[in-house]
Amino acid sequence: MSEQRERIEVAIHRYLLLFEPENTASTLRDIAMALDDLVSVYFDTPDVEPATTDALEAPQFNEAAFGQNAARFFERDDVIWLLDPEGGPDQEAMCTFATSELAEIAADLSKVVWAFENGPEADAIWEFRFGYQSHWGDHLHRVRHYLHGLSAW
Amino acid sequence: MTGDALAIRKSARHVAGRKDKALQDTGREAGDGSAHDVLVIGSGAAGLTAALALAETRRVLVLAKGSLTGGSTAWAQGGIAAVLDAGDTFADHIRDTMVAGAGLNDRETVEFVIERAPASIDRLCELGVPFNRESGDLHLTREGGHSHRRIVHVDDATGWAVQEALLKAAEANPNITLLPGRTCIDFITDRHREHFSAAGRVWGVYALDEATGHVERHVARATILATGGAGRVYQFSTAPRGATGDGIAMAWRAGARVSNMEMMQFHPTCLYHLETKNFLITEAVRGEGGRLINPRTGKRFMTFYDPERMELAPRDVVARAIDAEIKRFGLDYVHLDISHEDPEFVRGHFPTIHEKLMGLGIDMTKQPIPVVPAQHYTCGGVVVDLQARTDIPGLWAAGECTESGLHGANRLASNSLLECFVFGEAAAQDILARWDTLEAPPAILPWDESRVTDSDEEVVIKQNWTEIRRFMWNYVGIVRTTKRLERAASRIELLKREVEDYYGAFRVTTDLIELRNLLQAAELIVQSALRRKESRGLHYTLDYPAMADEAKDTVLVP
Repeated sequence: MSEQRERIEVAIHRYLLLFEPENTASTLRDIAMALDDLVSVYFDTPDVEPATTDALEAPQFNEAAFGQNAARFFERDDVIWLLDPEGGPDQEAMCTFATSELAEIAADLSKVVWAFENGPEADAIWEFRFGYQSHWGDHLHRVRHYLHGLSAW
Repeated sequence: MTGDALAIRKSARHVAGRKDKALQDTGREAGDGSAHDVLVIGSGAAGLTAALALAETRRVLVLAKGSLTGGSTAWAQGGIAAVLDAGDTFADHIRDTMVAGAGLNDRETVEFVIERAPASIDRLCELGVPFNRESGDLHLTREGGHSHRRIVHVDDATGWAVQEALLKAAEANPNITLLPGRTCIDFITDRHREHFSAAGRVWGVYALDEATGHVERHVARATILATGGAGRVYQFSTAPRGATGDGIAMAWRAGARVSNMEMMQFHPTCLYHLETKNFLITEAVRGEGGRLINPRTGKRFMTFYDPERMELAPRDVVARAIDAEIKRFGLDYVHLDISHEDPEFVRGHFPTIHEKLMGLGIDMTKQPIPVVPAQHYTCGGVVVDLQARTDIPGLWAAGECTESGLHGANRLASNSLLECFVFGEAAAQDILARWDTLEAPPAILPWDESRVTDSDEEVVIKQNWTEIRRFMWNYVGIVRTTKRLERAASRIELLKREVEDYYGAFRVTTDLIELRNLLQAAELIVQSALRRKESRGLHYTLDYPAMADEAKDTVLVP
């Protein structure tokens, strides 16, 4: 196992384990730290060329179970209000939910874990980087900002 | 994205201040085709040129997404190329165009356009475009790739002057109706007749009234598509906000062939600034001594890519070098530095750029300018012939949304506005010549709104939009590989399914229509890029770095 793979997998598992039902001691601060770690690992991971063109056929991510486990972190609601940075002062507010954002991240990262276990390492690393740039990175920064607003750590 | 995650993603809600989108009868529907003879979609150089030529004898309706001046024409800084100087020849302009196009141009089209350029300039002068003059004659400037002075211009804002003159003439013409604020959804074809037919002729367009949310029918004997390019498919683009490939996507869905979509032109140096997008730093800054520096290493990196020509290497070489540095070092931008030159010299040569940057807190006489390459022009598009006819009866097209054969694998500077005038005129003349054979529109079904509800998914639409633009920039940008293209194709396929779900379920909005078209354009670019097994002009792939002996168009058939 390469050092790069090890770093990515450790960071992903650190994040995913927080939402396991038996891990009742984990806190929002732990989530924030795990998210920070993922960002750090992303920036330390050099760009790679994927080894194959195969689409990932990872098993379905269990969103319902994840949602139940993530809900315990939020005492009341978990609404994240959003404004389009280019939308100007008269725009209508939009919102999403922290649990949805956390699930999006978890779903993408679960695919990366699956890719490490079932295919070439380069494909998994590529998926990790591609996902950050195009998808889960967006969700991460949105929820990270929200968590920071909730807690004054 | 997994199905479960998708379900969660769809749970995002747009909760505040929803606008009332009740149906309103605008009285503009023309299901019997009686209101206008010809429909023009787009109010830029190509669309208004066609409209003005047609309006001498026909009633023309011009539809525009957003404002009438929101297209790319008004943004054009350069000029219009035409052989007007005594020492210049058509043969030289043709050769320059073919060299830039890396042999992929259609020579007959190149000749057709260039030989009509002087007449196009004459018409613009008659319309009152205040081209710069010297002793009464048109002032001709020279740009990269041109072997002679042949660019007419209005200072450094030719596009705006042309747009203003065309619009003024159109507004004054009683045969032209200008209708802004219309986002076109799809063409009305024989399939939308009250009496169904699969023949496929275009009769007009279904368009969203952006103010009311009501979908209108606009029909005519002939329809001209002049909707511009698809630059906004990329994260960084100099194109206006509305350049989402609408016309290309609509024509493709209606059955028209699309060609050379992999040929996307990237400008090497667009200002990187969070508040100011789309501001180009002209190549003249490099020409006058500007150096490209890696902000992390402090090194002048063109040394490693083109040590002889350095910053004066051709546009595509410089763009690839900057792209490589950004990717290799994980940078957001590189520096373009001319602060080593005399401050008076810099201010005197680049007054507009200097003033603009000072307003953003960047003093280019003392500090470097952060720059990134940015998508600049869509060379590919809907296949048209010399009469601007598409494959579909009843549909003509002109300008950046088309692939006429003029640009080939790379566009020569200042040939794009020229193409708009020549093909806008060609479309009008062909329609007028064939007028007696063009049937009146049949009765058309109204837009089906019975099964749709207001979408609460605005946040998801914006997320998808961002995702497309990012992965297109990162994986279908300046330097490509087959594996990255394949993976981008997989992602597009997933997003397409998601967006089609929205499209089928919710009342359409401009954002949703644009997202659908953006995805379609992205797919066409990726599929075209995958089919080209060579590097030529604007398409550079590490898997096939050499240019093939024979130049062949990439033609996608629906």
